[in-house]
Amino acid sequence: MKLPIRSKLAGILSVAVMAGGLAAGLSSGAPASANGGNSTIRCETGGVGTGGAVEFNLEARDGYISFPDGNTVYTWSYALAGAPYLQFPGPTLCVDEGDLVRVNLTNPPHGDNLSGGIPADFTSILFPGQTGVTATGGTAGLLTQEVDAGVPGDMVTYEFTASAPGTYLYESGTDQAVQVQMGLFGGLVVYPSAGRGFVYDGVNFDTENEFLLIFHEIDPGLHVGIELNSLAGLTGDAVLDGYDPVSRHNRYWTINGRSFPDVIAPNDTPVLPTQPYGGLVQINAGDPDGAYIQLPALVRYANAGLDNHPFHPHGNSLRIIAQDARPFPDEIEAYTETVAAGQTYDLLAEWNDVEAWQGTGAPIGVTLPALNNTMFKGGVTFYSGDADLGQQQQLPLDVTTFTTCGEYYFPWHSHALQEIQNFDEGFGGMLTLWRVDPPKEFDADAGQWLSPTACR
Amino acid sequence: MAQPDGVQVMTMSSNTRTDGTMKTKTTSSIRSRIAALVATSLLASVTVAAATVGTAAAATDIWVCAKPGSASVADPATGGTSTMPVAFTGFVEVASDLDCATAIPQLGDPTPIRLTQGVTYNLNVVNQTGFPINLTAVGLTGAPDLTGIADTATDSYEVTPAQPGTYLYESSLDPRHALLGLQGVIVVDPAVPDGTAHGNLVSDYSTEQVVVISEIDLSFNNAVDPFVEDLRNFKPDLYLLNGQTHTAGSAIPPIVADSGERVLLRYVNASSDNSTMTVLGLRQIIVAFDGEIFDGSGAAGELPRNESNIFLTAGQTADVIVTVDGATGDQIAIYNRNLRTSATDDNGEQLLMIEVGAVVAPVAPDVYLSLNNTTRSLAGVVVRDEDVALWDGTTISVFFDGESHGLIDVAPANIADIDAVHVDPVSGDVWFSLRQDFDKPTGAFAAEWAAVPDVRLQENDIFKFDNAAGTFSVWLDGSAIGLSDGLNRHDINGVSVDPVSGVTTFSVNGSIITADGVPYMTGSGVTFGARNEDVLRWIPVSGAADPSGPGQFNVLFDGTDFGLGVENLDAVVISATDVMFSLTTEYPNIPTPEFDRDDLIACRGHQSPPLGSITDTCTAPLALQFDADVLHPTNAGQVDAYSLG
Amino acid sequence: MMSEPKSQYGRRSFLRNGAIASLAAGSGVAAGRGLISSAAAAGGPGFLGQATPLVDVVDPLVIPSIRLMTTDGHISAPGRRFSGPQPHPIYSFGFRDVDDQRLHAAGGELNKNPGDLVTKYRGKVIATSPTIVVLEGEEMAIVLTNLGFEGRPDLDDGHSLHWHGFRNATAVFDGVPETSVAVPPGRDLPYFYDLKTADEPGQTVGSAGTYMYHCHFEDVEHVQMGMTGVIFVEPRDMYFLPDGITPKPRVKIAYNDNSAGVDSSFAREFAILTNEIDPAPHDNLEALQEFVWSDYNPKYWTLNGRCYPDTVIPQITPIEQKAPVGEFLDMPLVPVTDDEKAEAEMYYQRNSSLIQVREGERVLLRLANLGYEIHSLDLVGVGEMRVIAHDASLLIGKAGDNDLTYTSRRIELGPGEARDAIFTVPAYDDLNAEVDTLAARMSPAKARKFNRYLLKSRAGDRLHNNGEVDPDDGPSYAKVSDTHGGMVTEIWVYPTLLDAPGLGQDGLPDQDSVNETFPTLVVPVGQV
Repeated sequence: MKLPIRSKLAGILSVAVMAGGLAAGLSSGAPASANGGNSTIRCETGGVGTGGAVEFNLEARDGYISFPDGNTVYTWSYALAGAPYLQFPGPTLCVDEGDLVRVNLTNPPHGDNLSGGIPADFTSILFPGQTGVTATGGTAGLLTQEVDAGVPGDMVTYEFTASAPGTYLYESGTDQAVQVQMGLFGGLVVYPSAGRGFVYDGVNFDTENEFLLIFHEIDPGLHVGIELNSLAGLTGDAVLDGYDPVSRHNRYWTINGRSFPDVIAPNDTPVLPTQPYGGLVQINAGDPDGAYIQLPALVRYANAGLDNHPFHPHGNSLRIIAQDARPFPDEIEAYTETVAAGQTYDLLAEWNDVEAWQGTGAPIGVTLPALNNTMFKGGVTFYSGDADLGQQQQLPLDVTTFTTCGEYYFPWHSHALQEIQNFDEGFGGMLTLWRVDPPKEFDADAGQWLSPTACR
Repeated sequence: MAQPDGVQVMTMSSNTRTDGTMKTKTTSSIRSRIAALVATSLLASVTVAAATVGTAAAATDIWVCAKPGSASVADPATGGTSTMPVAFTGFVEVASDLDCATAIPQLGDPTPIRLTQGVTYNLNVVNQTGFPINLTAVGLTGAPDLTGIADTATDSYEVTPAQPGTYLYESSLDPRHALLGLQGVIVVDPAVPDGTAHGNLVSDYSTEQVVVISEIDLSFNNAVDPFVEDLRNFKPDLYLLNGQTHTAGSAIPPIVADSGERVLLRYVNASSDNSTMTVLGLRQIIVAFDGEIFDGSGAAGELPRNESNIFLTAGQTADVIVTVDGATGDQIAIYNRNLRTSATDDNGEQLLMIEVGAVVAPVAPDVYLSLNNTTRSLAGVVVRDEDVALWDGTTISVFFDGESHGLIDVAPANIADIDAVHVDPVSGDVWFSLRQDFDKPTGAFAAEWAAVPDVRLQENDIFKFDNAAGTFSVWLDGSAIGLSDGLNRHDINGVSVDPVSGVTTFSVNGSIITADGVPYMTGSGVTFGARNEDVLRWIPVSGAADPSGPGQFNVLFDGTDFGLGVENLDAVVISATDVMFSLTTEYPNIPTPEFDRDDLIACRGHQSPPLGSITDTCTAPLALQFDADVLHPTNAGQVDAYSLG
Repeated sequence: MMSEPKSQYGRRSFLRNGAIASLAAGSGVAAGRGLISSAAAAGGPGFLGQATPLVDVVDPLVIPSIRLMTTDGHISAPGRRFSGPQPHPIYSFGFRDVDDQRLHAAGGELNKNPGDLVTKYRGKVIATSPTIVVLEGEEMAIVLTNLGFEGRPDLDDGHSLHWHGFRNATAVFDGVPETSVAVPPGRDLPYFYDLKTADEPGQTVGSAGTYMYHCHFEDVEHVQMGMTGVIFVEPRDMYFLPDGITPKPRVKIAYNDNSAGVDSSFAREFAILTNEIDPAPHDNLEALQEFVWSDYNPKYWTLNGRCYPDTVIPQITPIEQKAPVGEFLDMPLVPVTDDEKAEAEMYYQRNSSLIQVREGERVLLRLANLGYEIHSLDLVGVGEMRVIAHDASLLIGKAGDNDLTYTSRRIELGPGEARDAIFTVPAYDDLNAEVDTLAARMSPAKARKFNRYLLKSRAGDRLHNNGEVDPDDGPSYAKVSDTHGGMVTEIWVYPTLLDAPGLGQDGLPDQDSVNETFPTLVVPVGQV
């Protein structure tokens, strides 16, 4: 069954390449985020509030996000106060163990061009997993204080002490089945007292390879209903007319608010102004015979959706060290992990060149047929043409490759395979890639171990 | 599998499973079935652990009726201002079959059938449903009953629960029975009622609540004949906790608990789908999944899991402890994070609240203590160092009188001084160690000490006084597990015991590094040098059956993480969350002498170094659990053993 | 001609570098990779499935290999039968093995080129695909041959082979078309796997454990169409002493000995793959229609590709792969009795889920899920199982000395997850035993008896077959087929073999290979 992925895949990626985004992102030359190196987690640093609190000012915003099949979906999400438009998912808040954290939430006036506040009477923020959360201002709601859209400039201040390191989510606590499905959630990371090179005291990782993957799923039909009600000027409960949660039927599945192939475009790609966070996982291979000790990458799973998602990396099993920000007494290794709704996991990811694939002449045990006796999908590939790591080889003329230095790519996706679709297009949805560059080499003039030059 | 002081669990008959559940019912009437039971026992080829209480005890009758019912559930579409009828068929427990006519089944009923571990029951089922049914509780009712009980018939299932916990029972004869509501909850309490769910410390609770998660497809349940409904169209559109919906205008009956209380939530996922239960603002400590214990008592098995969102597959149950923390009147939400709802203006129907009652300062537990090589008159009561005294907050009394059991000082070779104690306040049993060797009492006391083999009681042994039987035995033979290096024995000077798992937690006097500095003790593949400021655990492979048997050490608490080096721990108390100790000197680190020599110091929320980390942690600075000045004003170092009630 | 291969340490790597390099130099094979010539790679003798594990042949130059062919065909489910008033079996894809495993020299099919195999095997898919058993420490190859589709000759779909869970895989052998290559119709591709032991460089754990394999070409479609199977790696300590080289008599264990003291020994083992079937995409594909995969809505639930009551039909094996030991029942060319007709329906679904065990035995369940839903299987009445491994990783912690195994009465499997669990069979209870009518068909002397237990899904709304439960559509020896369908199988508990004369009890034989049932049905001569 041939699926029209060719034009689409090439389209998005070439645009991103043209905009200098993907190639740079893929070749990880310029650090794509604060955490440096290949990390795609982008920590929003809060201001210093009274009492030495780390303070963030968030707004509930509405607007549009886009999907690789060309569809756009009306969405609600948090954004940093004053941002030009919403960002889906909400800003990733990073704090350190022991910080007093203060988050101020407002719901600006709901403009008619659907780029203002959200047309809901009330909204709020919950911090699941945190203890001792206080909320002041706004009006009392079922689960916490809520911002009242009827009171201009109404603001609720949430405060808590980040007492335990780990990976968390924050999400709306008002009409959760509607507002969380519409997109009101974001990631919250608490670094341990040992510092930002650790996920828990005593457990370090390569700070160039830190990745946060937030899962979510969207039924565009429900979003269109609310969009039309909103355009018709309805607000409050009326905007939910016709919203039947029982008939929810997901068509899009996202990682960090994007579906594949948008997921592997770098952070802040101009093609996706309202979806700033990428999800490509990129590391350097470990070399058992080499001198350089390649620390594992840290991958943080957070499932903000309403459904449970089983996530599976190709290429290697992962070391699971914690769930819901509490370390296990000992590691458990797994090649697939079901992340239930609301749960977070912390995993260490590494790929070791145990078979000495990199380097010339290493036997691969069998004879591969000539490339014209094999088949490439859709005329584009993430294959270098050579079985060895770090080798590029001429591909058939009608096939273009995205590899630059013989790196390996492995899919990393939900194994409920109907979730790796963009509505009806295959190889999309809740899927990202794991890029494995050849092991680091000692760069004499830079005086340090770096990725091979072709990979930089 | 017998508990140290519990009822026997196995009976001598061929139809007992290795997991202790009895064989299931037969179709014949009760009388002939009993005859058949006698017949088969003659052919018994497989004998199980020796029965300690005669032949099969007479079974206790439990009566359950299965009959149609009708519930009126708050309608989410109208915000709970109106209700809607839900037809179903359910189980209801009654005093006897005569009550079936008047009994009314409740949809998603959280009230459990209460059984006790080790007791044999006849679950008598009266079938008034109109179709054949059976009763299946995976883990309790043994081989599946594939023929069933005919309509209007009555039959019984013989059950001897082997494991405490929470069980879902349902009719599994036809998959539609569970969808119709033929389900219920069975709770099995430990053989010895001790305020815990599983007879271990981590499952200690003061308030409990069963939370039944279920879903209804209204068109299926209310159909004229659900048995002809097409299951391909089965799609739940009503989501329930304990058979009710949370709506804007109606709440599911809340759990009322005081701040500081340990609440046991017994989740039962009775639906056909998975659910993820979360408690907003509190951590959930999982102590059992489907009755399988998670308390580290298995062969060094997983310690209790600390999670926010607990994933339950269809049919799964979980026992979870939350410690309530809030101000009076606070509402703490328990809800299904899969956010299943049929309405738009609330947070999903599967939500109920914990209402925080009074903010009660936790009552200080009773304190058991033993003196250090002295005899004192404490508030007029003479306490000797071979006694165990009890301080209940206002008065002191002698709880265990050493001399009355033959521990009589005869200088210079026989000075009895208890320097480590653990008391089980429920059973009154006392575990203790002596400061130095002592001749085993003879003469009038010989009978009490008959079970102790050596003629010389040693300082590296832990003895157990069985309060009910009035006899002594060796709980832990120090030499058997390596607490002696040939030259001298290592005196145990602090002990805390878990009678269910057989795990012994203790501290020793003097370091255990041999003369040449080579770490002496090996445990779980890691060699380490334990010293007198550390707390060790001995985890026996065969549990309480043989606490001195083969097992492995691990370090529970490393004193050096708290600035202790030369100081010597001379008392150890372990609670569900804390590690408490006393020192032979003032606490070194704090300038102002906040902790005297005899105080009991607590590391609240103690965590042994989690993965890869190197230091023990507490969730708060070291705190004072018991101030010894209450007994004697001076910092005299006169108490050398503690236990808490 | 050959640049110095990157130096490697470890016993087998030296063997491979040295030996192969000389072969390449000697036989003038194209320089560069020092590779095995394709003939040797594809021609090595290898027995598939549960008969015997792959073994090193005497000549180290040839690594053991298996051929898997991809094609289409039909499978049978209650209400969608090959025979009967409205025959309408379900159009499916799948891998299948060659029936004739004999060596190249003897004209066996292992080494035929794809063209010769098309006429015999195209359109005759087997789903779920054969269970592959391989040995830790071996190097092996699976040669994937695309025979093309008989039902849809217009489709030039490629196929690939993804070993789900292989550690430190290389992209080209990971089997994802978008990140490497796929196999077009009429072509071969050898996939190479080096099943590392824990002591080799860069390894922390060995390869022993339960994995899955499936096609990854348009995977949402090809996996749902049936291209799924279980592959598991037997531990080195099963056949070799601790030095890993000196052979010893086989010891049935699932994982190597470990310092955490986890006992993985067993008397019998059963590999069961859970899945679902949504008939809509199957029917659409057969009728040249598109299917919107986000409309996926399954109507059947399967164990090893069969719905209850078919799950209790015995294991089926081609006559060429008939094991030397065991109990067999020949399938007639023309089925006569109702049971023979029910068994003939399962002709292309050869993996049984019937669990026949003896009282007191330790039984290993290798459970895996390649469906798109989370499934939970209840062990009803047998007491609890001890879960010893998740995703082919023994639960013994990072340092390998911490026993994290746990007991449970139910196993939850998310899509793509695998669990290994061991339960001890309860005592046999003669009072409630039933006669084994299946064994009685072999010979009246085999009139043995058993107690019946269940291993079944707990999701009440999925225990049916496309909305129906028809007790007459399936084997007679399934007990609860009047009320249950879908993901259910039965556990038959037999007494220990009673030597006492006169009882005439011919007990249940010992199990030799995974999923072996007693009897095993044998495909008639000449049938593929």
